[in-house]
Amino acid sequence: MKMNGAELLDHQLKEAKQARNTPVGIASYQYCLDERETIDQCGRATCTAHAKITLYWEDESISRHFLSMPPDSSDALPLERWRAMRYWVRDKRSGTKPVRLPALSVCDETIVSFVRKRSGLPVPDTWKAECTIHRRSFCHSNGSTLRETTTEAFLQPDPLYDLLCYRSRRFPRNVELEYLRTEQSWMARQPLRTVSRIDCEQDGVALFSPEALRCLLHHGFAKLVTDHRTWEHALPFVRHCASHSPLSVRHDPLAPWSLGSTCLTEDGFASQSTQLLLPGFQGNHSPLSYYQPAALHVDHPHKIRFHQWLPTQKHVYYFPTIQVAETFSPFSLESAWSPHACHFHNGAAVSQGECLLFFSLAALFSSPHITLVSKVGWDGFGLAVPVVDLVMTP
Amino acid sequence: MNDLQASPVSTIAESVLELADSFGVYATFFAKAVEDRQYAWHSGRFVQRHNRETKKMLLHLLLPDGRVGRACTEEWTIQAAERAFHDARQHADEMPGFRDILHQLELAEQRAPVLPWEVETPVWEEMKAAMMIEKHHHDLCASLPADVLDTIFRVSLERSYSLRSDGISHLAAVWRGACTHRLFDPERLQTETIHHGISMTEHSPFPIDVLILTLTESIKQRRKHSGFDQRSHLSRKRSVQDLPLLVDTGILARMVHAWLQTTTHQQYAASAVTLMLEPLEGAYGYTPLHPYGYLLSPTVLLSKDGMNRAMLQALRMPPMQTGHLTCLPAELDSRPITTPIQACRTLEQYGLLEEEVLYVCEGVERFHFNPATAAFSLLPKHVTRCGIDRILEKENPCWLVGSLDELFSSIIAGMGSMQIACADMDHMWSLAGPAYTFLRYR
Repeated sequence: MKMNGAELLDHQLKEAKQARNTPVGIASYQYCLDERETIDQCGRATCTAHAKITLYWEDESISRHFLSMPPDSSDALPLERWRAMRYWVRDKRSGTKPVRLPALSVCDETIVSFVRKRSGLPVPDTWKAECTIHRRSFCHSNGSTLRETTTEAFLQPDPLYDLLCYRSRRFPRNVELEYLRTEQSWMARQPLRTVSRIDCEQDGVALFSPEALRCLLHHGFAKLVTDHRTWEHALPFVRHCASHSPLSVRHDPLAPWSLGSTCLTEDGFASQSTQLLLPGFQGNHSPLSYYQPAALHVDHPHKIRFHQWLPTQKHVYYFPTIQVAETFSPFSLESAWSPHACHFHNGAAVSQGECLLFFSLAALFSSPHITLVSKVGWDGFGLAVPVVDLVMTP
Repeated sequence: MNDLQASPVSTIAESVLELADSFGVYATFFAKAVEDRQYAWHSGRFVQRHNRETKKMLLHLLLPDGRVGRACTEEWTIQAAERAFHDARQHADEMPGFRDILHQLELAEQRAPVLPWEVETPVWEEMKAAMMIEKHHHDLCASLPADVLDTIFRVSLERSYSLRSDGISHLAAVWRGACTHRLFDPERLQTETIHHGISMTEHSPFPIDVLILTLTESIKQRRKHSGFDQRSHLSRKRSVQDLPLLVDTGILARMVHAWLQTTTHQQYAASAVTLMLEPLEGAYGYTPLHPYGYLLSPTVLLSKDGMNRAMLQALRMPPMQTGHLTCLPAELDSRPITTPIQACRTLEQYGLLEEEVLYVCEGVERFHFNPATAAFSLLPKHVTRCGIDRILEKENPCWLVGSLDELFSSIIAGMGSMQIACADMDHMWSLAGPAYTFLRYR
């Protein structure tokens, strides 16, 4: 029988471990294999597979390798080269302890059946769409194996407008598809102009998409507070928010259907959720062992739906994506750049263009006028805040 | 190169091209295998090293009706390649100018030297190089506060193979070495990246000392400017219109690379600049083979005689991941010019500076652009104001905004010796240009 990539890798590693005629042998190994299968709206499929391998050698050393798969069946694994890559560490964390993975809504059977059938997706012809199955297996040479299957759906009714995108681990239900269709035809009727630059009026409201909001949170404090070398530097901000901000922020890889959600980390650990900011909360006693920006989620008492909120606002500046500095102080004045900002006037889209935006994260978080906005197709909440509150020193 | 030949890649390519022949399709096959090793240190402590092995196969088809099909796969098997072929054939699109692009690449190939074939064990020792970087890391740590410096050293071997329906096949191998320092400022909570990379062959010694020297020099430059509050005027932005600017190689590199990616390219007036794509061995972005399977040779993309649109298109579709450019503005003075004041005096000598203030911009703090509109936003690291009295004064940098469309009609002259700088955020492209370039947007 012909072996698939995963079986081949497993077989090759087992053989390498049993080999006895080598200067230093392999005592044990573990690997995380990520296999992705994606189909587009026409049913065209792409498959990728990557393996992250850690070898534990008999002389107490370890080595780490990353392979794009499947390995060439014609040759054995490059063990000579890998042996030369080994080194010694004090802390050899290995996921050999039995872990129980929590039950989590991350795999949509509808998407699984679409990808299996390769039949094309039930969306209008003009839409761009992709569905993915992502299989992760974490294996150790002692025989223990952990597996998780997650799914992803990405729909783009019109490449011109980022506002209309749908991103989730779940394929949209019929009502949601209907909403997206209505929104697309509504958008197509707008008198939208493309301009080179948009300047924000002071009496307007800035609306950050969930992705743009995560970008602010990640580079402004979450990246620092979750890293053991920098987390102490971010504590003053956590304490400031405890008494000045009604907003709470969690790192939650267990949120149902969110793209940042996963039970099984690539190091073979079960993920868990952690509070990062909360009114009255003085900070964690240690940084996180697992962190990814896509798993950041916000909460606030004031929430509203996008289509109900938009018509009530005079000027809205919508930022689907932004770019900021690698890390920055949440207390200093910073700038964000958005390649496709969109200006809405009395509920109608009027212009689209790039925008430079000035803000301080502390000022934004202390604003008494924060509103969380939800929308079909958004993975989490977007955040709306008056433009003046972005820079006002609290 | 023996192991790449023995592996099925050439067999895969031949079987796909046979299939293409039977369909009457002109095909180019391109495969790239990259093996890289990374070493990481955190604040004086070795953390880890690991290696990555990745592969990629690209297929381009020119159908008898003129449509163009493309497919990409990471799986190196005959089945996967044949699947990719049918995929590309069935989903082919109109792509005007494709024949032109192939013709231009063919012309470039005819001028290209033959590549050396065999990849042997390099004459330099990687471990020795890594140990020198480790020492350099320790030296830096000694002069820095605790827990602020991360260093990554990366060595990679990139092997490419191509085969085309006209029967021509190429093999190429490039070694690259790069070192990145990340400096964290615990007071301002900012992270600064200092990066330098080079390419080499297995026959030449690895100029690791040059790499370290360049990094040390960049860190010295950084210290020279430190102690200056760069953020207080951040919220201002200025149009580059009518603003005489002197920019360093780093800024020029980012602007030129961004210009390459913009799709507008409408406004273009004859200029005093020659821009070339150049496979320059030694430069980090050295790339001998185009993903369409043609050998690259120095090719003029833009000069006072006009623009090579087909070649520019070839760099965007499919996007070339690495490359090296040479930008040659009209040269005023070949004497070494190393300081802004020397550059300023030279401009005055040649009567290029009217009674006006000149802004000298050095280093890229942030750079953004929109390829669809050609609008760019630049925040330089350092700005020096050269007043009418020609006295230099440091100034707080602010955002400079403008359009890339007018970039080449605004470049007036270059000064100082040629330098190589990183041309994109991912450190994949490099550009050789003068130490200072005089720009005037009208």
